[in-house]
Amino acid sequence: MARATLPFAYAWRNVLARKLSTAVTLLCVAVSVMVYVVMVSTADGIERVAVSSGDPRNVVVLSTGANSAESSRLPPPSIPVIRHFPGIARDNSGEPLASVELLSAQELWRVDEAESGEGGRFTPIRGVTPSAFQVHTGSHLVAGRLPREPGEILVGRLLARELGGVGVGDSVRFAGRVHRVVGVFEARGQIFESEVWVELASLQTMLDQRDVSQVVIRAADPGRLPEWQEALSESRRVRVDVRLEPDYYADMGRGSRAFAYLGNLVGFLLGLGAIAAGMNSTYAALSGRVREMGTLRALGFGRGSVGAALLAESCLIGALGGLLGILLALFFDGFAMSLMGLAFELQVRPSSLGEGLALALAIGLVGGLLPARSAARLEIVDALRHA
Amino acid sequence: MTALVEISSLRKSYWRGQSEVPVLADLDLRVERGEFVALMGPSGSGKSTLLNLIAGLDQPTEGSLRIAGHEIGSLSDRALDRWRNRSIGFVFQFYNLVPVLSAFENVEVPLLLWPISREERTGRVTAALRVVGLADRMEHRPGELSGGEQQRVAIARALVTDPLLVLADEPTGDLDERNADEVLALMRLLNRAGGKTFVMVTHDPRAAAQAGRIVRLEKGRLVDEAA
Repeated sequence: MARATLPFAYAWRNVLARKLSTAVTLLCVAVSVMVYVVMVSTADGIERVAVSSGDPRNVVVLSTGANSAESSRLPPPSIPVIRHFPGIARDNSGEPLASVELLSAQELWRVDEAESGEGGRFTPIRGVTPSAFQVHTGSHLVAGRLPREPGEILVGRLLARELGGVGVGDSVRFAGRVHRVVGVFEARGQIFESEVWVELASLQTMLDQRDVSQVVIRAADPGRLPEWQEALSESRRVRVDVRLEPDYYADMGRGSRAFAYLGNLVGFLLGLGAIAAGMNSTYAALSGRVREMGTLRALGFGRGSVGAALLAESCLIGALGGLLGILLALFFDGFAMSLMGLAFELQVRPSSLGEGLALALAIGLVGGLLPARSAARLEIVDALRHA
Repeated sequence: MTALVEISSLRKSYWRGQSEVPVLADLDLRVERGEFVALMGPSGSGKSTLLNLIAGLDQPTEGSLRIAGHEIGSLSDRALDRWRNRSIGFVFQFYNLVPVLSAFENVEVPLLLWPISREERTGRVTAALRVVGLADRMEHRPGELSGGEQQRVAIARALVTDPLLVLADEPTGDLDERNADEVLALMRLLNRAGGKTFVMVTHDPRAAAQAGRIVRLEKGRLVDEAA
């Protein structure tokens, strides 16, 4: 026999014929795919920022036992010891390349939002010295100037975008007072671009805290970094933990994997809902066409052919829903987001789109299997008698 | 004439729980090539069951059913599908057209299982629609056609494979008098001028009168034959 399947037009027109149930199923599939792709892309965005952050010549010095800057407190006497540790690289003026930093997460509003109290977002505030721009390679001002007095701040490029285009001369509110933006900086897409940078001394006063969170230092000889890291960790003059800067940020990025798993889980759960909708729609299609299936069988189409026809309809809805979901997800491409105090750009990768489409096809396939099996099992005589 | 359908000692029963319900008992029937036979009888007499058995849609409980010399009860499911596609044309009471396909596509459906080119398929479908007088309505979907036109499309679908036998189950049951007459006239023409063999189940004596022979069934048995 030439072909055992019905033409594509048969599936296509049947899908179009039941507009409402097709639209509902298609929407369910599209939402599942969109949510899956956006969540996976979010995880990718976080990981990309984390992985791109850190200079392989730098180490981060934290207080003993601290896992992150947020839980680290280095007392003032330890700072000169760290800054002048043998083997630290120096700038042209002979100053050690060491960035003494205090980190604090604060709820931040644009000034126009502050009155309503809505729209606040937890934002990392980094108290820094001018050395920060030398130690954090790639960070540089793209607008304005460095802060000179209390109440003046710099904002990272991504944070500025996420705040709706905050720029030099605008004001934001955090830690109970208004701060004026005097500069915007870039940092090659690194984690710092989602931060506010203020003068270290200003932040210490604001928080009434003399301790700092970390010192980021650059090794004069990056080839001997592991020994140097070990020597600093075992120094008797300070009690510190020392991490290579890229490793430190990569560990932060690992948290994004949980988000990717969550994306898979949410995609799976929404997918189950879409499968139920698809199955319901295909069963409804079958119940309205039992006699038609019987006729096709009488005309010579085998059990597999009529089952495949229904399955093709279900897969077609899945594929269309997948394409719609992908289109919706693409709207989020390049979207500036802030999550867990980290601002990043959501970039939808082609592989995520492929996974989304595969999810949609799987939904269509699984949703159509049982109705297709029922169609294939119909007895011709009974089907032809069906009202 | 030579026998196209040879039925001997045919018995068909259904089981309702533990009890056997006989539908056809000890039935013998011959239909010659080129005949137009009407099967008549009250509801439940076994007319449709007999038609289903001849079509290979159902299996006899006992007895022999040969079509063009082949014992169709011995065919596998797949062989039976193929045999039905090649040998039997169906005309149903409610036309049974696929609503999303045009008249042309509906007639084309059985030919999709044939190893022929698209051009040949198109030629056969167009010819069949021309025979039933619907060459100008081939792009219309069933919903855009009258009942009589839909039944003519169904007849074209039954003819397009040039089957050995056309089985019609109450083909005028859903039509008004005028359309019924047109459909019957078409079937009679195809039988007399085209030599097609028809077996038609009907309640309607006017429809049966168009047949060359009337076979009456009662309680699953052949009770009368009239030329």
